[in-house]
Amino acid sequence: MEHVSIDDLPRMNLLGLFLGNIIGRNLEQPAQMKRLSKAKGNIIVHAGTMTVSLCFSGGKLTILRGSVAEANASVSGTMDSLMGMALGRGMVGMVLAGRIKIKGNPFLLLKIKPLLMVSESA
Amino acid sequence: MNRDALKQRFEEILGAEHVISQPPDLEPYTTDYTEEDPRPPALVTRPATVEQVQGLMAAAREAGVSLTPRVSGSNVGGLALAPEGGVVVDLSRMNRILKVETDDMYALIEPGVTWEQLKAHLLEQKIPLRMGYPLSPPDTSIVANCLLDGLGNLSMRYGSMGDWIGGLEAVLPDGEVIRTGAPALSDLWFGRGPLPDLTGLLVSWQGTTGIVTKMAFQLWPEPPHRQRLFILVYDRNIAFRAMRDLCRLQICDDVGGLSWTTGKMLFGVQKPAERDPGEPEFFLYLDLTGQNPRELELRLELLNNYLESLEAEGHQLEKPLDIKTLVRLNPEFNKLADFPTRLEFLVDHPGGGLSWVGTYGPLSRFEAYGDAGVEIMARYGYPPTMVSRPMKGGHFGVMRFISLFDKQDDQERRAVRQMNEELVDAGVKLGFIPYKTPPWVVDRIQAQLNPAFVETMRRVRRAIDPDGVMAPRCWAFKEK
Repeated sequence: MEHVSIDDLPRMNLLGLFLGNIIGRNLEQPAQMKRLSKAKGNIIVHAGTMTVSLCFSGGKLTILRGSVAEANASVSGTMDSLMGMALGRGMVGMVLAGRIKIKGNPFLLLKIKPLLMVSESA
Repeated sequence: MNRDALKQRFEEILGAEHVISQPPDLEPYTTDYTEEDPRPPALVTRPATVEQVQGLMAAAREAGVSLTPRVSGSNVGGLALAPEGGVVVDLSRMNRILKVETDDMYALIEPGVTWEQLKAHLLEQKIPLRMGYPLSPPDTSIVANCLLDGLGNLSMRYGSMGDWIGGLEAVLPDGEVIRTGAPALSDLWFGRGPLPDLTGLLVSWQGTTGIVTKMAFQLWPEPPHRQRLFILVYDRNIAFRAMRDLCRLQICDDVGGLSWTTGKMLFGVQKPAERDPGEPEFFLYLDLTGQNPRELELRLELLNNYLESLEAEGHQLEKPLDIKTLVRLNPEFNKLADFPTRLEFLVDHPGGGLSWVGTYGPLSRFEAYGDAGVEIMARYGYPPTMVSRPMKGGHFGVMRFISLFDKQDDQERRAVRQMNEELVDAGVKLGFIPYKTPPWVVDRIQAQLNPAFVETMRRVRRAIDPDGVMAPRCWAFKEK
């Protein structure tokens, strides 16, 4: 987890903990590490009434509770939908069905999406 | 009789290797999980047979020393700590599974048999029966949990564990061996009745009335299809309401609730500091089973209908998550996939201290006790770790407030005790009754107990143990 840091861990919400755990496990794979090293920008994730910001910079990810001011993109949905996405249910289908809403830079989202998905080999 | 003479007497009964007297070896017997002050026993004895237990009783009476029974050491509230000069009777060597009566659905076991041991036995022997498990570690004693009237994952259906006893054998303080329940007359240990319930003289008496040497532990049929689900609920009072409603729907084998802090601990957050106002406050945990897939599907359908009715009222909750899904999202959830389980974040954390106020009480007042408990814990700076469950079909339920602390920090231990006192007082005021009642709680509730109840307990104890040999720290009512 050295490449993922959770800001103020004792106060982090469940969404941030889930995402931090999934990404941390994914980074055990070199391909995912490479993906992280290239990611740059801030993504806000809303699930239900929880919000976290994923801040990618310099090959590291910092997860903060709440929204950062300068966001490049955002993803919103129910906890169930976002967990479904993490488990590999089709993101496009869920976006078209209105279960997940995305805003901002879609290319950044596409770039980091594999980091947010549960990898069975991780 | 001095300590050396006593040691020699015990060695004659047990063999020298089963009498512990050296300080380093006594260390594990001086503390428990909770904030109790360390209290080393004079000696520890480790009997393996009923005759040896009888011998210990006789020697203790003769020497005027007390005996405090204990099994695995995962104790709470000082119940298994001996008073000064007292002797601990470690029953872990009495660990035989004597038989499993498959047709009559019980296992006859000795006090040292553990949850993992009986589970392994049922699996190895391909016995198609299941057992209820507590949240305590797998290496703890089944008999001790039942005798202390604890609870487990089948308590919603079948009540507290004292109700799962099919009969007992015990050595009374005078050395006599009694059988209570069905085995007082029958060759099968099928229940506590229909004779007068003398098993009750050994349940919740905390070892003050004798040492149980055999117990029939009731087992139940294992439905072939099951699903374990978690539901994130954003308001704890809706979780409490759902527990009540789900009891009445009778579709689940188990319904429990864990507060938000436990979820975070599974992610390695040792001391969750505060709840994000946007995150779920409670996790409902549900077990559903069926004889075939259709029965299970119907139960799930009824559950979903109920959850939709809550949503239709405007309450916020997430869709049920299967435990297998949760394990894929975070493998740590595997700890909740199968029982018995060891929750390291509770029992193996750096500070080592685990304390709780555990009460049984009316489901109708869960909200009130929840409010009071959360306020008290916040005032002392502890996150509100709560575990609750309806029991016996919803006739009552368990409400536990759990705190983790540093056992080496005297100031923190005192603060935890003070907080626990407030939690007990708040619960008792609302009609909740502490179970596995620690001595310090007995002091606190004595004045509120029915006086004739207290006097009757005293009389029973004097009649059974006139020399005051057994567990003198437990249920030690103060004289008027």
